[in-house]
Amino acid sequence: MNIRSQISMVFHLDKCIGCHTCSIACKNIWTDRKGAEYMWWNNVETKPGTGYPTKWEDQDIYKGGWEKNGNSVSLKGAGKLRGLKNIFHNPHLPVLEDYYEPWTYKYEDLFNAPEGDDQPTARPVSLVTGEPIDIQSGPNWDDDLGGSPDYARNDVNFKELSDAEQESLFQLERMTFHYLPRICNHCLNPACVGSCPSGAIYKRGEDGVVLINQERCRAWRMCVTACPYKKSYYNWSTGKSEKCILCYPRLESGQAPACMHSCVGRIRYLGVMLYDADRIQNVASCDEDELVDAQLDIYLDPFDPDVVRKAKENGLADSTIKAAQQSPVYKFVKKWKIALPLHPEYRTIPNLFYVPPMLPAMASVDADGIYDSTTESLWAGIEKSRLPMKYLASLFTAGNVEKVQHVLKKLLGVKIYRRDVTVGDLSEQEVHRALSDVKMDTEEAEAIFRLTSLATFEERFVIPPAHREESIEMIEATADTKGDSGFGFKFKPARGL
Amino acid sequence: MKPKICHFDTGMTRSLPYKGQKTPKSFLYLFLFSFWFSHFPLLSFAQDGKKIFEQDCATCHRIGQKLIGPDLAGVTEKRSEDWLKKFIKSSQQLVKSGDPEAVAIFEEFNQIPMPDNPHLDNADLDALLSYIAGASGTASMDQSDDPGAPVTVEAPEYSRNDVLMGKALFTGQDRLYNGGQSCISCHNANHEEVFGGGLLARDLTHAFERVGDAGIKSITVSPPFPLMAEAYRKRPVTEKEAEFLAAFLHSVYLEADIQKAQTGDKVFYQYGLIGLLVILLLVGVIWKNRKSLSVKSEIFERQLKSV
Repeated sequence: MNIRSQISMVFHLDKCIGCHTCSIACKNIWTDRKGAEYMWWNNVETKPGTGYPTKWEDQDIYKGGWEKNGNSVSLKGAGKLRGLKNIFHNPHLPVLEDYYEPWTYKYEDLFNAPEGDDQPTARPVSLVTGEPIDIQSGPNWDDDLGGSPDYARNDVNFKELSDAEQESLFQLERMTFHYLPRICNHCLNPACVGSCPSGAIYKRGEDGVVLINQERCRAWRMCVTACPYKKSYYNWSTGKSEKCILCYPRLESGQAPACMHSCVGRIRYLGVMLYDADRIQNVASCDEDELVDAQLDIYLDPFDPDVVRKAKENGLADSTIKAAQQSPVYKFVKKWKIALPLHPEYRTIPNLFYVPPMLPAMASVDADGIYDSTTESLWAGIEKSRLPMKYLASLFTAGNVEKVQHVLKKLLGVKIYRRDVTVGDLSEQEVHRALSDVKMDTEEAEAIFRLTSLATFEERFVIPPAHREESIEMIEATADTKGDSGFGFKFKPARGL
Repeated sequence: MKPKICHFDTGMTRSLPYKGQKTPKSFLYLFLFSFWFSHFPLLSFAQDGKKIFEQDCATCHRIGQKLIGPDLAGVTEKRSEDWLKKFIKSSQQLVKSGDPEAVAIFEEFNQIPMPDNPHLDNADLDALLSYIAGASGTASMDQSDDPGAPVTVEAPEYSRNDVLMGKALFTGQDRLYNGGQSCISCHNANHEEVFGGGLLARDLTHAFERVGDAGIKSITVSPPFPLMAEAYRKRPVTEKEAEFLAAFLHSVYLEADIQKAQTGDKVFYQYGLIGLLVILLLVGVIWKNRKSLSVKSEIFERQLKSV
């Protein structure tokens, strides 16, 4: 057993209100530079929808992620031979149009335009060329367009759905959508790291944050292809690729990443998970229907004395182990099993988990054509939710409907239990059935409720001390530089700071 | 006389000890000995005009007979000593300086430049000239006394087989006996079966006209040109091979007017064009499923239509 720690995240989709505050927080801190305008390390998508970059989930187009290859995995669109073949022209790269052309407006025209009969307008100009452009799309052009023909209907996750199921989703009364905020998953088996011909991408040993070394990056852009989540972006100005850094400078000083800190709906949780690095290959290369369970198995119980002992042997600090024991992610993912990875079938073992959205109770049109917004009970059965379960299964469980259903039933159980506690208008039998169906006791339901609804900042973000001194001591004799360290840059960054 | 620098080199490399190892005295002696030895020929044979003549001049010149270069019999009386020395050291320099006599000789002998001999010092030249003067007296003066006559293009009766052998040697189909490079590496000759001869040295199509049968043989066996001499120093062409080559070049010369130059330009263009098409076709097939359009192009198209 080779125990390591990994900073992991949970996004509770039922709580996301789609306000994009996270995206703006990230943009303001990291990507408001030349060449990075089009990048959204954090973005919020409307589902069903095509996302950003458009159709990123369609690996027939973009060739991202790994595919099973016997007892191992190989990259779908990169790797040694394929990468070499395409190294000077990679046909699977998303082009700027697949993202969008970033723009601003000529605001000064509003003030400087000569007097005339018409109101002056601020024309949009491209942030890439500086020329006036006709805006064609943006990073969240499909925002809230749950039933739109261009975006929702082109959702890649509909591949598994029959035509009838798809059509039912677009009937006026059944239309639905939810949000899907996405950042880099800081995967355990990152395809971007595996694909980089320059060896510029690495996963930090101490917390598993995946970073691109800006000095070693040689702009091959294999990571852009390889990342199935399309979370590695090429900066056309610096000629280097960039990606979400999980705000590691903030993490190291004990603060939550900007997107999580600013989250209005408080949907984001962050904490440490202990995992067994020896099992990564086994998990990544197991059969598709076992993927989710295998991934959850790789995370270890931080209360197990054996695990604690081996973690210490492997050099993990006590503070890290303690943080793992208090980790909200551990609770959501391992203890309650209500958070699932996004697209586990890409085999990268992502460390960002989603509590799937429990869509609102459905209404139906009855035989008389009367719109009936009430159902026999306050919350209709999960089976009757507006969005086909297959759709959610395609997002979170590689097609395993039962698994998604189980999670949603558990969430429904918590709601029924809390309704009973606060309003008390449900029969005891009903409450008991809702809980026993998913083998949940009232204690667990209460705990889920508390961490979901009432969690404090410290409960949502359990950030272990970074122990930078240990990392630094590994590469530097600290006594030599004693008194030298302080604020400022070791090397002046060449790009726009 | 060239100092034999290789001795010096050998001494040096041998005398390089391993780190920490003391140089044995025997190496030191060997080093000194080889250094001395390298100067030995210079000291002892410097005045030997005959040897110099045989080594550096005899390929093209005879005393009492016209070969590739002019007959040297009586040349010391015809020209001044100073002029001769300059000409021997660097004939081309003299030609370029516009010396009328030098230019006349250059023109007369088909503009074949005489190689420079910078390694000959004044003492060597004195020895050489005195040898030529002495030898001129004994040589019969009645041969080829017409200096304006062209190089003879008469050749002995070569058999068809000789020509074929020569062609095989020229093109490299058969290796030279001593392992020297085939002529085609550097030379071209217009012949239907000689494809893409080298451009590094002169075109040999009309070589027979220029230097004649004897010239070809002697140049081939002991080349006067510095580069060619160096190339064949260790792997000389044999007399028999030279004969075959002369036979081949003779036939090339005779057929020069009816042969078409095989430069291969057109063929290369044709193959290049075909190759390009094949590569483009392969690219099209191999990357058939590549992403050639933005994934949004469909969306934009539909939206524009609906407007």
